[in-house]
Amino acid sequence: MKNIRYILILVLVAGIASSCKEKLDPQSIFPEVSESLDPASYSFQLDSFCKKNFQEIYNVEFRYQMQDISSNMNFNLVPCTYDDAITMAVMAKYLWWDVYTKVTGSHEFLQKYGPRIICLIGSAGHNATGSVTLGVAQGGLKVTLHALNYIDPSNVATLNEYYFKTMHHEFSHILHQTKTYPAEFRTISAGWYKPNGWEERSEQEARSLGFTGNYGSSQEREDFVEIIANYIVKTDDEWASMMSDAAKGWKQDDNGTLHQLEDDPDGVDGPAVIEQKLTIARTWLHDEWNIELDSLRKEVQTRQANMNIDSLRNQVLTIGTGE
Amino acid sequence: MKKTYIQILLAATLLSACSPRVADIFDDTAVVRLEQNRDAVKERLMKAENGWVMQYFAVSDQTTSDTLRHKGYTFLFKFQNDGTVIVGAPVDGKYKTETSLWDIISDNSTVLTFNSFNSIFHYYSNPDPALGLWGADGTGIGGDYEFMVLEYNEKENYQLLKGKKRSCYVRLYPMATGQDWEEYFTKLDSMDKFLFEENLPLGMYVEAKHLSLYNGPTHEFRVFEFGADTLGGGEYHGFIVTENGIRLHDNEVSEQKINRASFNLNADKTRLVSVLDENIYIEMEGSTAFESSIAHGTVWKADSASLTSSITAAISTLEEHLHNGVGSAKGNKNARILRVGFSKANKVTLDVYYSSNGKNELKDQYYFDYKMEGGNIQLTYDGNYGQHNLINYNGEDFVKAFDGTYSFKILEPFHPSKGLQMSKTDDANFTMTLEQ
Ligand SMILES: [Zn+2]
Repeated sequence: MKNIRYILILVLVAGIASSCKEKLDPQSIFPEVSESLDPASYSFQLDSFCKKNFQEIYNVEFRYQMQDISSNMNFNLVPCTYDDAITMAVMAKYLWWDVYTKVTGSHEFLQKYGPRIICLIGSAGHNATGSVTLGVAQGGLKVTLHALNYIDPSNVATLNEYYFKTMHHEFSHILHQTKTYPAEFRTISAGWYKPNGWEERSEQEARSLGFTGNYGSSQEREDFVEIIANYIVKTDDEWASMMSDAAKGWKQDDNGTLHQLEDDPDGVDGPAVIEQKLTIARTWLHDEWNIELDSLRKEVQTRQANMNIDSLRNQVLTIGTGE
Repeated sequence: MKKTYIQILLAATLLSACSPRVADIFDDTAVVRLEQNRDAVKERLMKAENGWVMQYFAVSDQTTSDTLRHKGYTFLFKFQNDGTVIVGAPVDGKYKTETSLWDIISDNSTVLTFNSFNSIFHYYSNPDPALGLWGADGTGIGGDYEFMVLEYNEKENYQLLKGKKRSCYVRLYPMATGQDWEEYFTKLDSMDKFLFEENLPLGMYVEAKHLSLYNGPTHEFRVFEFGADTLGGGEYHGFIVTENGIRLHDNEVSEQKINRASFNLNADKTRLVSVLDENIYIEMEGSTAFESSIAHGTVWKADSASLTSSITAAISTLEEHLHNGVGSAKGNKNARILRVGFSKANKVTLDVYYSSNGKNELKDQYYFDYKMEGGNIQLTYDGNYGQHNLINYNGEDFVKAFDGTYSFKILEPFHPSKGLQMSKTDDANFTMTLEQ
């Protein structure tokens, strides 16, 4: 995509206002799903795939057809193409649902804690400031993925970062809301969080302070889930490059141009802090959830490296239409 | 986040009374009715054998000039039973079709939605700044692709729709059986060309009001009271060119009672007449065409064969003076008046073309004050001139013969360049047909 100045992953707290707007009543989230699909319908293959792999197993509605233009009045949105929806459906299964199910050993985990609605949107969420929102997650129940019309399946790492990191991020929120993370995590970066103005930090400056990126430096809970999400989706090289940023000193000049400094004047050992947070997260996932973070990461990384989008898409395209 | 997942769910459930869920608002009969309406609309849309013509407007704000957003666009749709719709329209001037998904859904009312991306149709709602239309603010042209299905107008035979987000009225007309889709756009182009290729202001009559409509070729009229200063101001009103004429944007000038009005060409193609009221019409007026074209540098020449007796008599008198000489000005038997015409050099200029030997062409220029009087123009020689050799041959008498009030008639509708007849209102024999 052109014109992305920076990427905002917007995570809305499911407060009172958004519950009203978003119809999160779990009894009513599938008002229009009919029991049997029509084989004569053009979208029969994808609908069958989603029914079988998302709805029937996980009770997830995979909403690729735009349902309401005004679902988000902040953005002007257009739907995604049917074809891009196929690509995203098979990738979501391969890089997200199948991963947790394999690592936890059953469907039960995601049935219980996973998102209920996935919305696909063709355009990005263009903010008036010129920034772009690529995903919106509301309380973990509904995850909206933007900019589907620009997906390039040949660039899996980018896709993982754009789309699936958001989902790991949001899912981690659900987990720590259910079983809170250790108190010792709270002390590590206390005093460095900037709930307002985190955007003004560059990724590099935030890393030098012991965060995985600037959004992680906004609040403690965002820090926690960003550690997990970044660790899962970043390749070894990407993780190493992030750590290398964290080891250096950075400063923005008055024009906002970033310069690397000779020393690291913030007094924080960035890589050590990130490692410390990662260890807490790893232990917490193991102790509280019986999930091995490194197994999860390895599964994602292996799948990412071996992904063959055509054969994944064939899962949909070979579904018989009864003709 | 302090709330637990369960608490969030509970909160959502408790507060769901404020969510616009159908079950909370309507009783069962209403739900059934909505369902039946949905099926009926779906049925109707699929029934049109050759599909539908959509007359589409993107946004309803019309206060400033914003041509791309305000003018109308035409799309052709074939709604199919398998959930797909074929969309046909010109893209960058070239006809194209593309298939995507559609549906009729119930969302408080019955809604027609184009719910998978179609590069032809969603172009008009796409926020991508990379389209280069509106900078980086993510507005795009700003149109809708979800429409509330309103009433079916049996009289004019169209389905009325209203954009869900921008509230623009959009119409669906059934496409005539046998009409080739691509050829349909050729028809629209021909209509567009017929009405606007001369790029002159049109006159509009709405009850007692006489308006001037500028910028027709952009499909966004700039509207002034007739005779008003056009340097600044005016109102902007988008329109769409249709098979039969034009249609103004639906939220238009409602106080002037042309709200939702289509204007169709009348039988002799001289006027666009409102389908709602035949006393509301748009036409190209000869006097305006004369004034505006001259102001923009058009050079008119009278067709010599069209000159009637009063003019030919004046020309003969002048030629006699040329042949015989006047005072110290010598006569020349070969001299001849070739033609007369009008142009702009200073005010309205009477051009008198003549020759001293029958071969070369010379031109004198005499300046006239002009005054618009309703559909007429009053010309008065102001005593000034450019080249003025004929003055020595009592030319001033000849020039003054053109003083008077003229009525104008466009011989080929909407194409004054092919013939603009002007006649003195008090002398039917002082008539000529101007050409370019
Ligand atoms: Zn978050």
